[in-house]
Amino acid sequence: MISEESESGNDTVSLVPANKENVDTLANLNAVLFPITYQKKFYIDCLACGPYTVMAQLNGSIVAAICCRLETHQDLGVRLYIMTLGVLAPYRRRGIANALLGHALRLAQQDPRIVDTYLHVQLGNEEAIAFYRSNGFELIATIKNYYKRIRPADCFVFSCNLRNWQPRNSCLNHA
Amino acid sequence: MMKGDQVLPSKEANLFKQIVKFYETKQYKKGIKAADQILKKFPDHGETLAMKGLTLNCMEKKEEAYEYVLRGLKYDMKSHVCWHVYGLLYRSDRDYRQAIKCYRNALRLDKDNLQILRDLSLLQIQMRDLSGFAETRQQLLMLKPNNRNNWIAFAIAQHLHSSYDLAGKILMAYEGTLEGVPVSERYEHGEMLLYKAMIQEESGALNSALESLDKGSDQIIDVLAAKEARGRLLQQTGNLTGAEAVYRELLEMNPDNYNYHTGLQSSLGTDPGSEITPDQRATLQAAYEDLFEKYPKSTGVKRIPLNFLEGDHFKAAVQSYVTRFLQKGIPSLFSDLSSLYVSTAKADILEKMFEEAVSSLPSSDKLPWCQGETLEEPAVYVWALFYLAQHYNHRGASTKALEKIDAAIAHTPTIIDFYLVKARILNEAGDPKAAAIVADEGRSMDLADRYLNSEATKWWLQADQVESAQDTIALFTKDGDQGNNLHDMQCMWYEVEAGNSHLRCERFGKALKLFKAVAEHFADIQEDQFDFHSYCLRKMTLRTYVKLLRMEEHLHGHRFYCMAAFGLVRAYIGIYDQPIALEGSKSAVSAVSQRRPSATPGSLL
Ligand SMILES: CC(C)(COP(=O)(O)OP(=O)(O)OC[C@H]1O[C@@H](n2cnc3c(N)ncnc32)[C@H](O)[C@@H]1OP(=O)(O)O)[C@@H](O)C(=O)NCCC(=O)NCCS
Repeated sequence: MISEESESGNDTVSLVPANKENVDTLANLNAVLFPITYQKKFYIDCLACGPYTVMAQLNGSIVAAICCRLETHQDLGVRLYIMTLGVLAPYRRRGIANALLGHALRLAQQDPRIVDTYLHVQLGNEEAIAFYRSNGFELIATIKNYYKRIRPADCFVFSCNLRNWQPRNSCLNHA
Repeated sequence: MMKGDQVLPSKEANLFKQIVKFYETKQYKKGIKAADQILKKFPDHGETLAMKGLTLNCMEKKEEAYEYVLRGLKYDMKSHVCWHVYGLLYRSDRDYRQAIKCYRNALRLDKDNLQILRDLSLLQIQMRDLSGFAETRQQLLMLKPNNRNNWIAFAIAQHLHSSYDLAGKILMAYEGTLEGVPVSERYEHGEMLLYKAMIQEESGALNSALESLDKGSDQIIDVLAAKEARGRLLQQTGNLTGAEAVYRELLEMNPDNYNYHTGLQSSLGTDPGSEITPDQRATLQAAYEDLFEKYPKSTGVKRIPLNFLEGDHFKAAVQSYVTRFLQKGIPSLFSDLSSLYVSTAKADILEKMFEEAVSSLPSSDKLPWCQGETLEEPAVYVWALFYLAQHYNHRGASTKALEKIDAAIAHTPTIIDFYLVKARILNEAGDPKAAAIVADEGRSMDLADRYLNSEATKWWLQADQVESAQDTIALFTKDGDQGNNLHDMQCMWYEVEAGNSHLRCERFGKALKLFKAVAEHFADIQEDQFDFHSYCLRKMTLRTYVKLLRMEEHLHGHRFYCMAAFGLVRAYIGIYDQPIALEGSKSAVSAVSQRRPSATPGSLL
């Protein structure tokens, strides 16, 4: 199950690919992390994009996940859309999100069809905004009334050019 | 081979030999053909009729088989072959008593027939006719004293018959017949020596046993077993210093074997499991501090002192013990420590410790008993909560237990062990339905995990949701045929739990079926022993063989058998008490026929 593993200090962080056997764990995680309840379709998309969607395990317990989707854009080509990225509150600020994002972006860089990556962040989600900025993402648009059921309803669109992206130090080792 | 009254001409006699060969090589069709050829000329030839019957029996034609064999006997009552074959037929039907009778008749006609004697001895040991077995084995030995197995088997027979002295002497006499041991048989010879020491030990001749081990020390290959036996023997002869030295050597080989620890403790003058004096405690404490220096990585060396330490010593030891478990997130901590709860004082200490840990960790990130500046992982807090939940549940405080487990799940909802513990708490608090739902939620988080699947099934059954249970367990059985598949796998926990659930819901017929299935497994296990009588002798795994025989003798004391037996009785009583009118028309019939179950003594089937 475990695809990549490393030790930093006492922590062992490893990645667990999402699959149809453990998708309920993923759903459980997202239910706690986000104010939106995602439907079946969301998870079908998640699994459809293959190795991009993964969970992170810290010392044997799953504590974080990144959910991705590959989209074909008429003019641009294939884009990696990050649907959600979240780390359980007690386990933040130790580089786990970095590791998950790094995993997805590195994969995307290796796929010549993929041109860029983007995502939506709710206005006021300062943690996330700081996180994406620190990873070299740029604010490219603001969409009014993007969310229907949560407030504030507006969101920012962040994007990252994969050609220039450089991994930050992460707690995962890539041999 | 001596023959009965009927003698065949040489052509047919040769054909007859072929039938036997075809039977032994499982070429049944050819065997039948050859038999028919003889019978065409000699339709009344008893032995041929019998052999044809035996062959038919292997072709799943039971009725015809009995017909032919009986006809054969009728024509040739004086043939040992006919009787032997008749016995084999009964044996294949597991009717060993009848089979023994037939073999005995056969032997009356040909008293030194080795094959029949061997077959008879197998049935005798299977049926635990110990004096008969000893007799037969003695006869075999006298007929063929140059065969190793005949000596050994005769010794086993005497041993099982509690004639230890004789058993030992037989083995020694056998040793006397040997002129050196071929290299290829060194292992077998060593096993024989260990077995001799085992017999001597059981007879109470401890010093002779020690002597045997010492004398055989360079011939015994299983050095570990010999050492273990030496430790035990020295201990029993009161040579504590000697025993201590042996157990220390054994611990050097494996510091986590609890038997060695028990041995060491008794060699230090304490009886593990009974009260100890303060002096003894001090001795043990010093000994374990010493062991800890030597084997810092051994979990056993750290865990065992928790059993005998008290008060502040206990507290300090348990604090350092649990720290590693919490930091590594090892889910089994509570079940590891639960045996300590016989002591209220220890349970109180643990309660206070974990309550303090849970209240200080969120703000300080430190375990209250850990000095130094290192901060703990957030997971340490959640594992402490997990422990506390199980602790409260164990002490009957369900509300507090639920509160803690819910807090743990809110903190890290992805750890599946939490859901299983929550299910247990809910069930013990009297809500089996809610328990099943929580366990099923846990199961759904990792559909590839068979253990989770079984747990969820168990809780569905506890909640009397048999259908959900069936659907769940079926996810891991071969598709389609789940009932049979579970039966083939001898999945007894399921059959017992499901049976009990049917009982609670007064579906007695269904309960009966499941409990009977369990009883059948035990009959099979008993039956399975048959092959080992000859196999173990050939392989010379004698100590294990004797242990197997003893295990089989106590088979019906097994937990699952007892549960099934009680269930079966309850189901019969339930059927007896149930007003017939209330049953559906079909089951009413079976209820009538079950009203006065004809009891077969000694058998549940
Ligand atoms: C955003 C989030 C995923 C970050 O997870 P994380 O594992 O704590 O992030 P990392 O430890 O990998 O942080 C990497 C870098 O991002 C920046 N960063 C992350 N959280 C930050 C915060 N709260 N404030 C400021 N900077 C932050 C820092 O530069 C950090 O590097 P540093 O720790 O060396 O300073 C996490 O806060 C989260 O799950 N939030 C809730 C879910 C959410 O809103 N997800 C985003 C929408 S899809």
